[in-house]
Amino acid sequence: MNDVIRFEGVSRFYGDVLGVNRVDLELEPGIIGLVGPNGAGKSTLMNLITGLVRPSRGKVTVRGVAPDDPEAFFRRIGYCTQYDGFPLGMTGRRLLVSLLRVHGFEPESANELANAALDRVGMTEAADRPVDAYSKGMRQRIKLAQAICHEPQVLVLDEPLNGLDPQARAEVTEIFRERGAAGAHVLVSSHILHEVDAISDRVVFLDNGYVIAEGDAPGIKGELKQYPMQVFVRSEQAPGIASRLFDLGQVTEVRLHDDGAGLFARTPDADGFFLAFNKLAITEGWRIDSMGTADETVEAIYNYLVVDGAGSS
Amino acid sequence: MEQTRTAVLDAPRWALRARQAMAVVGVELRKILGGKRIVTVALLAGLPVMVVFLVAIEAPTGAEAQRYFGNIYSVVVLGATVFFGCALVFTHLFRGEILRRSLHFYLLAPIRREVLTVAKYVAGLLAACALFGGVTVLVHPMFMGIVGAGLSVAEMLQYLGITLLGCTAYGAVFLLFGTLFRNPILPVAGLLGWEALNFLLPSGIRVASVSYHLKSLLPVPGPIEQTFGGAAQPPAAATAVLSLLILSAVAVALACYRVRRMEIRYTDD
Repeated sequence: MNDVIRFEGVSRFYGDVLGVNRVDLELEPGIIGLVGPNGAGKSTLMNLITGLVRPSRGKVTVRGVAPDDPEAFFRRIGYCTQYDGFPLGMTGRRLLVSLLRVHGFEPESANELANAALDRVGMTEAADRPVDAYSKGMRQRIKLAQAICHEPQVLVLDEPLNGLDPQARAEVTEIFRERGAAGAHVLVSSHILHEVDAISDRVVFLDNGYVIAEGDAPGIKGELKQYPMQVFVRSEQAPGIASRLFDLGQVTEVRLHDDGAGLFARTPDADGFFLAFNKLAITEGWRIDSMGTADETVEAIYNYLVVDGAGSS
Repeated sequence: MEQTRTAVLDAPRWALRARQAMAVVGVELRKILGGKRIVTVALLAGLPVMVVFLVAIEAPTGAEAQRYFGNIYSVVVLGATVFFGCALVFTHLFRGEILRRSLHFYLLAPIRREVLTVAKYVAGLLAACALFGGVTVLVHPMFMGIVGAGLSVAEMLQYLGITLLGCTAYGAVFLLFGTLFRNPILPVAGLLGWEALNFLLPSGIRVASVSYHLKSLLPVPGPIEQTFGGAAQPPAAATAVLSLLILSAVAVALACYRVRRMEIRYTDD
């Protein structure tokens, strides 16, 4: 498979400090969220993918190419970094055109591509102003334009939503979706977990330099046998149902909805719960309006794995 | 749009690299000439003009004038303008980008780092040669005109050649310093001391100096050479030129090696 990003036993140390350790990952195209607290190794992982740092051990390949072949490798990669520095005295347009010229594009093509990228991030009007005079949000958008202007197959975005207003966030996430739908890898690290949840096809959870879980949110949750899942049931008979749920033996907590027409139940074994609940509902003749899991979100899994520390045990 | 990308990928590697190198040279020249440092560099370039104005009025005429200009050239143009000017331009090529946290833009481009390094060096060299070479061809006829000595174009070209060689060699060394040291000021100061006190060293060690080779090419010996030069035989002109070119090539090659292994960790800088 040549369209994957592959980490094979990758470790990276900064002197005695651990960046990431023993990472084995195979990332298919799509939108991939990188989630973890500060110092978890998200930026190191991104820098490893983009060849800005090298592994202390192991190997990283991006769509079959290693950073040792920069002419092929970096053509595939676009990186919107967390670094806020820009070359001296450049306007937004000059920055993009210059970088595209360094890519090897002829002046005319470089101008075309730069204009398209500026337009895509809504920076056409401000393109001829010096980058040093840009606001935080504008700098963020010009960094994104720089990352997408050569139409890379792999887009790596370190906190790309920082400094953006809600409308700009919506526009930018639309770009991620477009690129993801077009078969590109879009790796997004963000502290805004509900946004990662909303846009990501898959999520990589990192903590203390280790990948502690990877996959889509329901898949990760399914693999966590001890994950105390919250289930919701909507029914007019909710109070009666609640009184019987502890009989199932798989329920640790039951809470009625404020309107009394539903309940939340917490269980460590969702599959077992649903099986037992269905049998009981048929036996008791309950009328159930709807039911399902209430916390298959990235945030809920993050809280369980990272905040509660279950991922490191 | 797809065609433009394909055109880049289909270009022969040498053509692509040449285009990339020219793009880097253009960007770097704009940065060198448009940055704040250019003010200091321009002041350094103006220093010989000022000195010539100040001393030429009382300078001797005739054959003595040549020796007098040789001294000014050796101390002011080579020792101050070219040395410090090149230090300002070349140490900043990589170090400046690291300090501005903007080097990653280059390192994320699909360009071989050797091409990037050489292109940056060429940009620095073009700027330094234009500025300091220009000053050389300005002050020589200016001095000779003020003192009333005849202008020798051959001599002026000889001085110009030495200036260009000085930019080439010092530039390469300072480029390397910029990739090796977080704070290149200390190694630059060390090199200044080495170059200045080189005449005190045994002749075998003297050869490991840029100024030793440059000053051996002077039409008339510099002041220090006149006093201390008798102890060591100066190298032949061809040997001096070749030595400086080899030194420059080695320094640029080492800088390429350093840049090839460079990682972006701005927090360390």
